[in-house]
Formats: sequence, C-alpha cells, structure tokens
Amino acid sequence: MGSNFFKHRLSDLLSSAGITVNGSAPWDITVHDDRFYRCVLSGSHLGAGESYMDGWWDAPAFDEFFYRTLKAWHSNIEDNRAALSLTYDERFHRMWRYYLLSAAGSFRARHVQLWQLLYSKNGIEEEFRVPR
Amino acid sequence: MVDTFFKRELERLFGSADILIGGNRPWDVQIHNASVYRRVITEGSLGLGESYMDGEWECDDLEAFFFRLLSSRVDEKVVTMADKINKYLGKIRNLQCPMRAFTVGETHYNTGNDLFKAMLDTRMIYSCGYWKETNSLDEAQKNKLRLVFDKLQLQPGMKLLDIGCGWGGAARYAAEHYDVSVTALTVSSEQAQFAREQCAGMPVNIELMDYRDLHGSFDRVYSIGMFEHVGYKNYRHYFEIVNRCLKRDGLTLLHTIGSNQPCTNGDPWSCKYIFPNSMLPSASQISESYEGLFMLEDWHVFTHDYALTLKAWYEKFEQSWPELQSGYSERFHRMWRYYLLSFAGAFRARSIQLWQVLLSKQGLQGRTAIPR
Repeated sequence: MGSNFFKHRLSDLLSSAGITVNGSAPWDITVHDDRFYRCVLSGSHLGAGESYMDGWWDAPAFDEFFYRTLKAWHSNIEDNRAALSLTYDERFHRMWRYYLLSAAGSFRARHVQLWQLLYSKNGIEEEFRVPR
Repeated sequence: MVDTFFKRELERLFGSADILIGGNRPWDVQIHNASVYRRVITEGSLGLGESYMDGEWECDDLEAFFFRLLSSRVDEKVVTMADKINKYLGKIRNLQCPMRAFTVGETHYNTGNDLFKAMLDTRMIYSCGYWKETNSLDEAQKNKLRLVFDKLQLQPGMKLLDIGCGWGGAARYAAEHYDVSVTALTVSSEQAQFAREQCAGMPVNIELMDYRDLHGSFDRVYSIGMFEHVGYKNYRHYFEIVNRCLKRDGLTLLHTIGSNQPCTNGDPWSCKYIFPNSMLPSASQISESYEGLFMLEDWHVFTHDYALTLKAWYEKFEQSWPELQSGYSERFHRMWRYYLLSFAGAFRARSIQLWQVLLSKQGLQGRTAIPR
C-alpha cells in the first residue's frame, strides 16, 4: 500500500475531529516526516507517541489536539450505541446471551442432543458407507 | 375350480415381482407339485418355505428370488388366517418368558457345532460381519469385533458383559486384544461347552444363563445378535437389566437385526424352523425401550453387509455339505439353504435391517468421533 493511502486516510480521520494537517489553528498539527501517517495507523496511540518522540510531528496546543481527537471517538461510539439500542434493548442483550449460553450448557451436559438422520424411501441397495 | 384360483393368484403375486412360474431366468421358479399354489396362498411364508423343503418347487437363485419378492413387497399382500392367529398369539402370550428362554438354545444353536464350524469363519462368529475394505469372511468378522470394541472405547482392566456370547469368539477377542475380562452368557449348552474350551486360560467366564438372572457391575455391556430372541414384551426389561448392571460412566452396544415396522411376532417359517420365539425389533420399539435409561450415542446401519455375510456362509455350507450330509437329512439341507438365502435376499432388498446402537448412561463428554 502506498504511503499516500496512509496520508489520506489519517488526514480524513483527523479532519472529522476538526484537525487539519499543517493547518494554522492552535490544535492543528505539523507533520515533518511522512512515515508518521503509517506509524499512527498501524500503531495507534503507541505509534503517535513514538513518532512524536522521533520528531516526525508537532502540535502547538497538544492538550486541545488530544481533547478533540478523543471527543470524536466518544461521539462515534455513542452514535453507534444509540443506533443499536433503537433495535435492541438491554433486556434483549441479556436474553440473547442467556439463550446462547443456556443452549451451549444443555448440549455439553447432554441434556439435549444433536442428531442427523438419513432416510431413503426404498432402502439404498448395494454397499453404501455414509460419510462421516 | 378352487385350484385354478390359487394358481392364478400365485402367478399374479409372483408376476408383480417379475418372477415367472416356469420361466428360465435364475430367479424364476419351477413348480413340481400343484399343491404349492394352495400352500403358499393359504399358508403364506410357512407354506412357501415348507413346500420348498418338501422339494415341491425349485429356483436356481433363491437369493435373487427373495430379493425380487421382497423388493416388490409382495409379502405384505399375503396375509393369511394363520398370520392373523400368530399375531394374536404374540400379543396375548409372552413367547419369550423365562420358561421358554432355553428353547432357542436347545434347538437352533445346538443344531450341531460341526455344521457351524463348516459354515462360519475361524472365530465362529454367528452374526453380521463388517465388509468395509475386505472380501474375506474372516477379515469381515474381525473388523466387526474391532468396530464393536472400538465403539465401546475399551480400556485395559475393564469388566465386560457379553449377553448372548455364541461360541465365545467375541469375548475371546476382547480378552486377547484389549486386556479386559469378560463375563459371557449363552442359553445353548453346546455353545457354552465350546466357548469354555475356546477361552480356557483367559479372563473369560462363560455362564449358561438367561440374561434376566444376571447380577453384577460392569464397565461395558454388549450384545451381538441376541436381541432378536428377546421379544417385544421384554425389550424394556432388557434395557433395565443392562442399566442395572452398567456402571455410571458405562457404555453399551446393541448389535441386532431390525424391522422396518413395529411387530409383535416373528416370521412364521423362521420361528418354526430356525429361531423359535424370535422377532425383529423396529427402531421405535428399541428407542422407546431405552428412553429414560440411556442416551443415544450412535446408530449405525450396515444392512448390506449381512447379505454379504449370508452369501459367504451359504458358499461354505454348500462346499462342506458332502462331509456334513451323513448327519443331516436332505430336507434339512433344503431348509438350511432356504434359511440362508431367504435372509440374504431380505437384507439385500432392505426388507430387514442390521443395526448397531451405542448407548451411554450419562452421555459421553466432549466431541466424540464414533469409529466406522
């Protein structure tokens, strides 16, 4: 994957949080080395920190930059949670968990069984070994 | 007038199975005595078998004759008065009560060890072999024993119970190859004596005993070709006894011929001449009898293998007949041929089945791959 891909992808993500690469606002960042983009996308928080230590990028208002980034993550999660809870409530969540795990336990305890039965109308003639 | 009716009726029945009276294909029949028509129409299976024994009709390939007859389900169309009485008797009497338990042992299984030695494999296993990847009867029987004992997951030191041990071949194989001890039951005195000699010096205890008199505690219980003699009224009791004798984490294997429909009596000819008081269980009769006592682990169908086994027995029997015949009548010869080939044809036509059912008391834990 070309380095342009990482550059565009990360720039898009940051802009959704109101941060412009090489912009003029205090919370914008200045990139000195293009390896920064790949490093952040593959290493996340660790990549961001290490590339900062290596001097690949700077942010005049560091605290504001991080505030804006984390706020954007949080609102993304909340938006999705809201979307999920429109369809499924917490009671459903508990019901579904109960269904899957009670069924799993019943099978393991051999309280219920799983069978495959193969039938023919007139009997299979000649030698026939059923696959296993 | 009446005789013409019987003749036309039999021609019609055989015709619907593409069997011609007087035809020249191997499965066609030649009738030497006109009484055959009446005997078959009025007495059904019994009349067909007895008139064959009496030499009143011939067929070059009896196995193919029965295959055609049973595939077309003609047998279901001939329901005689005798069949109805027989069915009724099966319902009102317990034909397999303990008093009668030794009848089959004293008749069929005491027929003569020389005959069975000539007909069976070297281990004298008198049940369906397992012909997967073999053409030899000896191998097929060994495969079957391995199949049974591998399904039972034998471990060294285990105590086994063999219900209906025949000539002791299975018990001996288990003791020799799996380092286990076996208590083995039979109702035939000839079999018991032979089995004791076979298993001398091994941890195998042969008992001349009805399964209902049994006490003890075992790791594994198996029964190969005995359940056919239990009788539908005693199926539940059989499983209760196995349950009582089996340890908590035990396994039991039932190897039996099966019927496609529940029934309350055996085939009249087979009951009279081969297996007195016997009948074949259906799948529902078996499952309703173990439900609540056991869990189903595996139900294996290998019906065609019994057709192959019977054909192999038949070839060996006919080859040995010159040496055997001084001890048996020609009527016996015809009866035995009729027995082996009618059953072979019935299995091939899937009119009857061969099942191995593996049951556990508590349920096997984890993923299990039952051998095939």
